[in-house]
Amino acid sequence: MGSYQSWSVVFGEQPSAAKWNILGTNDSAFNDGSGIGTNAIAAASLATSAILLGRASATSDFVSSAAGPVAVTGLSASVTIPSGSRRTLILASFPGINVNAGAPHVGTAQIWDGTVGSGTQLSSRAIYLALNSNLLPVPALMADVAPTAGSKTYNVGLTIGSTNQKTLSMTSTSPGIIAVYAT
Amino acid sequence: MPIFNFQIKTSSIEASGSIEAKDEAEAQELLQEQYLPKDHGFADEKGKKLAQKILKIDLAQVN
Repeated sequence: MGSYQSWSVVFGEQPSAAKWNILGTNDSAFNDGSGIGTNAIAAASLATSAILLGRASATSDFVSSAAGPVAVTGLSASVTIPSGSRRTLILASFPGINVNAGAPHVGTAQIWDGTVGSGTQLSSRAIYLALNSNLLPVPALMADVAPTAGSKTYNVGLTIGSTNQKTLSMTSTSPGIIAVYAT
Repeated sequence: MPIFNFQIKTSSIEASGSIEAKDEAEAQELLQEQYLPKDHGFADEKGKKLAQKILKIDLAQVN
């Protein structure tokens, strides 16, 4: 650990060992991060994938007659979790859902680590399903996890509990989205 | 195993991220499997809208 010290010589100066060693201390401070100034790293200097690890958006309806859980086509994000034990935030949303038959009931929307149905469910929100010419709202999904470094695929799943046709509405102006952030 | 950053665009899906694959061909195969629609047991007009094609896949190996 150390902090950055400015360093310069004048023409003809023979720096002392202590002064030379400031360069080593500075080097060490950059290596462990302590020499990097507060607010010194501009957003433009961050790697594109430093915060947003991956995302997907879908702009056409997802239609299914499976009781579920069934993976929502397109709402899938493959990412590489960085080392350093950073937590990961997964957000997903879609505009609304309707069903074409059956009694009103409650289903769920989920975020999965891995394959929907056989992977690990990370989050679930209840969704209300009823015959309605209008879409019924679907709550946004969020999962806050601490995965080990390496490859991960997060998916959105739906459980409707009936084989009636259901339409998850997604359009170009109201897309379905999944996004994975390192926090 | 190598990691590839990717961007994929289909007629209705845009996605980006990174994926582990032994080579570029396998990465493309995995992405197509992941983002092309599956059969959800539904085949009327709305179901046909699921049909889409991959318009673009960009891959860049990062390790």
